[in-house]
Amino acid sequence: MSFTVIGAMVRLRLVRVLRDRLGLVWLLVMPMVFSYLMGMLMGDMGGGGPTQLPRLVVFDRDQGPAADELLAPLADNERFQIVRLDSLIGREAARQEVDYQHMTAALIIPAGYSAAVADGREAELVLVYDSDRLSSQTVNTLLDRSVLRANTIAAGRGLVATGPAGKAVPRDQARQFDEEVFAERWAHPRLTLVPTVLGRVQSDDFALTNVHQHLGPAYILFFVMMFMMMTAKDLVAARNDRTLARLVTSRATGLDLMLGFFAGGMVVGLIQSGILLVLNSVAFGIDYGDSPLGLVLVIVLFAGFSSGAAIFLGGVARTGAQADGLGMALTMTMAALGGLWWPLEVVPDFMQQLGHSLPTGQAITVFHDMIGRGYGVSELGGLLLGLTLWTAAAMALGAWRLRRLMAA
Amino acid sequence: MLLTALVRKDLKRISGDRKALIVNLLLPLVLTAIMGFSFGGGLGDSSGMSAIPIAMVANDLPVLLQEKIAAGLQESGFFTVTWTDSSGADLLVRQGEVAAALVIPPDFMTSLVDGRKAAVQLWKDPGSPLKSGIVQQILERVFVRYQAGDAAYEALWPADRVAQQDGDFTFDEYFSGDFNAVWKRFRNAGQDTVLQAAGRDFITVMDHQVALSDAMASPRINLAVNDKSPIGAAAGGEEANFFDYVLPSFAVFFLMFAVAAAAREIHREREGHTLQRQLLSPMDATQFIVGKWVTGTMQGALQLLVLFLAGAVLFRVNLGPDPYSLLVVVLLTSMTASGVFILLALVCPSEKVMDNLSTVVILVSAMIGGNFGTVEALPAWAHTFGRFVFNYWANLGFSAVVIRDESLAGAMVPVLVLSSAAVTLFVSNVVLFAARSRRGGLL
Repeated sequence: MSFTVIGAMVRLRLVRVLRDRLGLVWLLVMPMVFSYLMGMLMGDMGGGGPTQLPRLVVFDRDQGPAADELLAPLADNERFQIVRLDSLIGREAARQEVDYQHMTAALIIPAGYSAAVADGREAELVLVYDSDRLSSQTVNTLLDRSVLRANTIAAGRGLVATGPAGKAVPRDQARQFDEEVFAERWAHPRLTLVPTVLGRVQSDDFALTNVHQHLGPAYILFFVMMFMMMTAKDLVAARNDRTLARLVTSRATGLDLMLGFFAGGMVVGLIQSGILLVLNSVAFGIDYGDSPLGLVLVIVLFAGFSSGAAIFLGGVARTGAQADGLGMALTMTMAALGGLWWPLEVVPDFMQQLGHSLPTGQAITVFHDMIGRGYGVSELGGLLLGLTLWTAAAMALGAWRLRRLMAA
Repeated sequence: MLLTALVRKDLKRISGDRKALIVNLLLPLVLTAIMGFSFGGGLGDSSGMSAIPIAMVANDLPVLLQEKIAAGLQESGFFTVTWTDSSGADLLVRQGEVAAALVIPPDFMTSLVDGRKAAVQLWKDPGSPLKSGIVQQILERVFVRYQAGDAAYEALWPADRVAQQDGDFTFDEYFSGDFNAVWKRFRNAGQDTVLQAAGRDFITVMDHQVALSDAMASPRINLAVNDKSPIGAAAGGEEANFFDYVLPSFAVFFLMFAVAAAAREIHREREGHTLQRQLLSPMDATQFIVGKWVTGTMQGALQLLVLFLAGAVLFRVNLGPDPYSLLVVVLLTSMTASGVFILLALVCPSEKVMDNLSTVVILVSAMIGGNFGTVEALPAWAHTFGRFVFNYWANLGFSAVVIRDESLAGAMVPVLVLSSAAVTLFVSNVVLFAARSRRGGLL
């Protein structure tokens, strides 16, 4: 084995990557852009201040005190802004507006709503919302709560005995409905729910609740694999322009060439991962847990797997276009199944098992466990072993394919 | 004649790359199927997220109530419940065995009956933010309903609370044991005046609770909630198909890859010196661009149609209310996509640059155009730019026809935008190609 040959091949690979300016976009810029934009999509939080928040448009034909009271708990929300109009809109038109994403939700308050509430008559409010959006779900939840409050007050008022003063109050009625007591008890309920996250850091806005804590590592893994697969066409080109044949006739042994190709990919993957880990940490404040060794191992193993798989792909594909297509197909399928696009906890059990058996699923779960639970290498042993087996398999397949090519 | 020969030649070349064709057709279907299996699109027995495992710590609750709660949670189908103590619950949550643990404090019921405050703990698994979030959301709904009833009760019958607080009986004494024991205790109160008074208080409270519950059962204000999508209309008898949402997005996404590959042919021909030979023929710039444009459009349209037909067969994807609406949107989408990527090919100096740039363009426009999710959630600049990518309008067109089952009238805006974009791009491409070939930039 010649370290000079292997070192030269690694250097060559690095020089080629660094010289390709557009390749650098793939390497570093795209993962960060994806992390940022997907974070916005999944978190449903537009940046740029309160005026750019998704809009709840209230078509308020009433403009009365009951409408004000209904909307008061929805004011100054961090996820949406209220735009109140006195115009009228039909339910179907409102649905279309929400469907075209011109607003996150539409609330229709009919004329005479306040009068109906004051008289204890029935009234109907119409909410059109988008169940896929966090801002819209928040509107629904808060409005439901506000309507419940109004209905409870109406029910309470309806239970007040109406007979002459001094007459005995029936058992199923009350002498009065004390609205001050109601307001006080509503504001300070006796029964409360206290949520706590039992992770490394006991905060509700930590761990995977913060969408970037999932997306940052997920897109690092995705783009490391994607970039490696995209470089598979270089091996195809080396075969087609006979560079590989010339290398075979040089003093380099088969093992040197194989290790050179493998180490070249791996070094690029490691550099890419390292830079992206730092950038994600700085830009999105991602915390990778308390186990630097676990972090190094998962990155090394995943880069190793991707490098081996790319060599295999470069050995199988006949043209650069084929390598690109197959690489993209492999990366996207493994990303979707392994939980890089959405966390595995949302899919059925059998899909979770399938995801956890893939290298993408194992690698992202290592990240989740380090970030959320504070696991170290000993607790991550099973997942890291699985990843090691995948890396060994990819390397073996790559070596087998490369040997056949060199023999041919 | 020349044009036909050009298109035939390009189509032959594209269809020769079987693996690329298979990837372009199979990958969207595979990813759609994965989405179906993942989110319960009706494939097999898949029904989306599995039941959420939770732990319950409520050992001080009466057995009767424990059994009721357990049965209610299991029957809802949303939860699988494990009863344990607090240290067991802590371990289960920390190991990710359960998504959350509900820890009901000792003396919980006594606190409620006595009018004292009570805090219920919800311990959440950091590895299961979505599932534990759902548990929290459901519990908060239950708690706010309790809060409403409790506040109304106190505002109506404050004397009841005072009587309870002054009583000599605690909740445990009332309700310890099973149902028979509780019943016998009240029936056999005999001469025990304390128990008799407690029984009377209990009946008064129950009368008031029933009256309040009846009053709250018929709310005066009705909030009619409509979801934006046909899923919301499911109550009206229409059944929404999950794949109607997913397949068009993936189809447009992969259409971009196919059309970009077709446009890249311009560079391959330039680098293989066949483009120069074509430029020496009697063919003019318009004919050349028409040829490339028709090839790209045919390839794209064919790919979209095959995907939609396969989707209809495999996933029961809706093909629209009539035979032509989907066809028109497919054709306009392909024409515009072809125009976009030919333009990109004409401004790129080499195949390598085109290769890298087209993938960047595809991924960014897929994101800001809404192929990966709702665009309004993006920052304002991305949202604004999203209006300028063709796939945004293509997605709107497919949403109208496939998801909302509307004819072309319902998709008029996206159809008009796509048509204008296709014409503008075509003219720009002809002008640009003519200019570049005049200056020798394509040689």
